[in-house]
Amino acid sequence: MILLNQILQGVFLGAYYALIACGLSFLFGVMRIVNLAHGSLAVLAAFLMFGLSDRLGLSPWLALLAAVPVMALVGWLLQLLVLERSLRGGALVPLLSTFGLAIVLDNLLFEGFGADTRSLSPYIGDLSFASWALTNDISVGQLDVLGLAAAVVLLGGLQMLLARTRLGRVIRATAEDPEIVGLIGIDARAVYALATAIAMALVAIAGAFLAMRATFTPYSGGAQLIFAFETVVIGGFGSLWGTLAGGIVLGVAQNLGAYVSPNMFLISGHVVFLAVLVARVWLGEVSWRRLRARVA
Amino acid sequence: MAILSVESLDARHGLLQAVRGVSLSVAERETLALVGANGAGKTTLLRTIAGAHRASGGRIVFDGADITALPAHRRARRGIALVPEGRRLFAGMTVEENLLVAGGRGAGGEWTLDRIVETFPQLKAKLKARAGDLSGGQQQAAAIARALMTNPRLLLLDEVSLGLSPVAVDGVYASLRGLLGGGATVVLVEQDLARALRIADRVVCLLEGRIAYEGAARGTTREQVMRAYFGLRGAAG
Repeated sequence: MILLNQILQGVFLGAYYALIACGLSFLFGVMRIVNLAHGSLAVLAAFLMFGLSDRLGLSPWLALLAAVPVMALVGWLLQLLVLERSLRGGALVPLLSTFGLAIVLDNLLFEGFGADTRSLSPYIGDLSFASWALTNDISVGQLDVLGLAAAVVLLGGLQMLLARTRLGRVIRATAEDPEIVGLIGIDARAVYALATAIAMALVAIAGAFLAMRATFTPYSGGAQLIFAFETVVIGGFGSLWGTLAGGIVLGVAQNLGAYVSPNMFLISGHVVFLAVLVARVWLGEVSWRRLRARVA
Repeated sequence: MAILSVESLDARHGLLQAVRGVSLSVAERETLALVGANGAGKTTLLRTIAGAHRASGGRIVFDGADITALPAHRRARRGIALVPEGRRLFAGMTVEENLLVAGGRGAGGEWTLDRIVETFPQLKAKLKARAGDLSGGQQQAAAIARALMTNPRLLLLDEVSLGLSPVAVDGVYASLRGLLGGGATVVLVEQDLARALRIADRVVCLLEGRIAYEGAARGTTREQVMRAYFGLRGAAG
């Protein structure tokens, strides 16, 4: 029963990882950019909501409502001021510029908020610890269920957007060939800016769950980026449902590792990530030729 | 009246000047064939007109307005559509999605999915198929259809027969003839000289980025164009 509980809690943890990763996956799917500032931007959103709740007394849910458009605006500016210019220098330059941006953001947050750990959990009342007992041995946290529901709704919504709407078709077409979308009357720059804004709106939601379910500091972004990156690699870069599956695999692996020994929580996730990466390369799903073509 | 005027146009690929001082005009409902050897500058000229390549000098006037500085998407909205060499469909999307993404700006123009299927019957059974899975001829038809869905006033066709089987080329040209009969304005790059002379009203031959011959297709012989093609004397039209 304990093992089953570990797996179940791993699924909920994985849903959180999927939430953190979906913006990263979406941005890569559309623009072929691995945004190394992703984790730091999630922490920025978390601090934004913390500031609104702690200093202005806003409910965290209202703070989230405010943070989503603010982060979307941050995404739009990020595209116009950083990513667009970086992409002109080749596929590797955005890696460097977003890495630099992450350092700048981390240190600006440190300057502004200091090194103290923060959390939004004191501001959400019982939700931070309330749970439903499924059996005598297994309970599920209400916040965890909310996180899983949010992950399914967001990833499903994104999938619907991409598959069923004109905007989704435009985004997919731009991801395939930005020059050709220009030739059929679509401004690829505007599509990229919109896609980055959507990705950052998703980051705001991820930041809210980060802040509500755990503590964070200005330097928490690195760990969030690693979990997001591992989730996306396990699930397949650019695949939205794969992101949910990847998150769950990572979360379950970590919890099963912790079941064996508490020290194995992180390492078991990394081992699964490495195993998937190596398997993909060896099995040819991500061949080196394709990797090289993406970098070229 | 000319719908397109190109005046002393230059275009470069780095140090290489691919288009050198080209001036030409295209009248409404006219079909102009651009011919020339590989590297003569035909594709660069089309791409520069469409805005996919930056002009380094000269002017492009479309429908009375100078569009030289406009980005490609704004030229497309004004009515210029390019069918690029190699088709370049959105391979991961269905044929229908390729068409809808080009035609969905609510312009309410004459080209609809129904009319596309009428004009390109080979696409009827393939609307739900992935564009990347089509045969070469079907892909070319889909690429032309995608350009038409933007309801263009000027259609630029780059090497529509390249890499296709003779049967597929006949199929594409059968559809094109219907299009031209309907009064479309077309600039066509074509390697098959005989076919270009048959379908066009006028022919322009480029040699090393310059116009080496220009004349009415009906009065032009294959020999005249071939002399211009290879830069031999006595080719001027």
